[in-house]
Amino acid sequence: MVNGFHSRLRQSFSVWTIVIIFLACCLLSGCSSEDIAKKNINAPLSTATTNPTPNVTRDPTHTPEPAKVVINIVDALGQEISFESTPKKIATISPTATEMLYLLGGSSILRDRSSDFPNQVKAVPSIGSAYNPSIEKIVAGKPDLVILEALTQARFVGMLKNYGLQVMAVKAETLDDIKTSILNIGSVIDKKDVASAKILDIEKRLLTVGSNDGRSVLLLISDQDRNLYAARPESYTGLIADILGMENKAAGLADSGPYPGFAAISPEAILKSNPDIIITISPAPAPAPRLSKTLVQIPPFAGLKAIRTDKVIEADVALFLQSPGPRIINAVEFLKKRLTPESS
Amino acid sequence: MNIKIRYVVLLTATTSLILTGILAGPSDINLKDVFRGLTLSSDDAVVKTIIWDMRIPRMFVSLLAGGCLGLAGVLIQLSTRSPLGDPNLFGIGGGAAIFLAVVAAGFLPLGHFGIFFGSICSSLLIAIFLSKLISKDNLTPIKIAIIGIAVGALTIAIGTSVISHGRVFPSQVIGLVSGSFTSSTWLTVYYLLPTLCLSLVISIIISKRFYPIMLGDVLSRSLGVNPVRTRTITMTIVAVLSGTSVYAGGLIGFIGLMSPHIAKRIFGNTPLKLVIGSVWIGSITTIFADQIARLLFSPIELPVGMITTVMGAPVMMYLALRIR
Repeated sequence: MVNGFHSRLRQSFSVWTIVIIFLACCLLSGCSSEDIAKKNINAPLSTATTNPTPNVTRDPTHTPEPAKVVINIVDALGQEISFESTPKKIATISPTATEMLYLLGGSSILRDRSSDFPNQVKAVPSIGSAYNPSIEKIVAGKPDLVILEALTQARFVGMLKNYGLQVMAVKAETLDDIKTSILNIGSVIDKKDVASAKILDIEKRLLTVGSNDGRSVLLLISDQDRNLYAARPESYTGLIADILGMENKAAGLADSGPYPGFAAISPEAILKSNPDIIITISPAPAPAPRLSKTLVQIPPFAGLKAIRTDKVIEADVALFLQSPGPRIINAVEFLKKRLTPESS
Repeated sequence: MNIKIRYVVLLTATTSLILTGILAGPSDINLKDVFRGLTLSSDDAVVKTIIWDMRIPRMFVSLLAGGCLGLAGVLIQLSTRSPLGDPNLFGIGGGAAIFLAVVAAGFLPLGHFGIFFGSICSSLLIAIFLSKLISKDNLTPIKIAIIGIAVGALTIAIGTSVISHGRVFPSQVIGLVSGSFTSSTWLTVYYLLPTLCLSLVISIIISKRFYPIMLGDVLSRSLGVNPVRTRTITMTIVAVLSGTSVYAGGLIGFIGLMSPHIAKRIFGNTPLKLVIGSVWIGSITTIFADQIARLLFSPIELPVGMITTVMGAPVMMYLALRIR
């Protein structure tokens, strides 16, 4: 009996000893790996030992100048960036970055597949989706500067910098963000005057459309499961209605669901909020059904004020969601036009 | 002769896939430049970076992660006698996926090693939970499989809830749930290599214990091998391997499930051959899936787990019809 107990005790002790030793080995191997990795993290760049400053992105035809800082900017991620010369080859990997660069007359050598405005951008080689770009293709393009979007692409900054690329972030969360980002790009590509002129133009057009609408609104989008999400005032889509002075019924809702800045909203909550205007966005391209058409067919929604008064407006997905940036003024003007009594 | 041909075919396939991983990619670098980059004789630092810092580590990571999955799969199948054993199907990888979802959602600010070790520990927690459930004597393989699949479904439900709660971008979710080797670095290789080697050595040492277990728990005990104790050791190794593979490439399905079945047909049915063979088959299938994932619609990448599922599902259907 006692022998049996001792034997079982010894057996279970030996099992757990093996388990603990195994885990300890893994832990040790991990620790030592990290040390090695830390030493090697920049190893491929240090392979270019002939180049004392391993900036793999520089144009080979560019003659090195004495270290003279020409441009200093603080980008949308708060990074202080210095440029010793105007970058010649710029890759823009989000529609926001692409549209801001082209607005100022610049051009890109690489784009993401959603960047399709203005038309000439479509001829630029694509690096895939803005959410999952091909880092290899970006590095191979040897850009002097990569411009990305701060909110959705911040996680690529470290990765691209590790490969020796200069990275700058822009964003379009507020009107001030848009203006600052345009000015930053203007400074970097030596087109500050053009940037100021474009910003002035946007401000003038905003004054023309006014900001005293006052009607209540819900800006809706649906996912593949037909769940509905409303744009919060803090989102880019919400900002468009906010500029016109509309009251967003999604204010105070918590961010949830697949679209950043949008909140999941139940049909009951939509009925309760009963907005004057409903703006719908359909992410899937035609011939997929438009949300403005499917929404009015949902029986309980027939009593909604916006549906009874035919104030359901289908908005362009690129203008209102996919391409936040300088075209915000086009989105605001579109909405203003659709909201004026003559056009509705 | 037949066996020799099989080895030659496998070796050729492995070499070609490794070469594809190094020579082909979304950037249009010609073969001459690739070879010069490979031998470090190129003057172009970018080419060297692409070859040595992107393609080669990714090739290694897909090979090693596949090896981890293949080994984890065969260890589960041998220790539980269940032909359905798979670390991700049984939720052991799901433990690491929950942890990575928590990290991706920004709830846990951790460094590389913290994420690696946390992945292993969370897989270990699920493995301990699973071991407790299947530690009863004389459980039939089918009961073990049902318990495993139930635990797997539970971890996926929890992981999905964490992802829904956190503001995680769709591509990160796809990368985690469907698998992706996009962000492979040398660091990942340094974590994977010792883990797989150590696990393989221990698995080879304990492989003899699986002979009696194949005969059932009662016979196994009478032959001097405690099945529950062997399962505890095995599940610990499986947890370490699953956590490591999920850390490297997310939840990649079907590799752990199909590798032992393919290995059985190529290398034979002894535990030692199965253990080594499954690692090899797991590596080949995963690197093959990764080449399709990154090259088919280049520069747009497909989730590698989607490719392994497309490959694995018909193979499993075929095997299911063949298994008596």
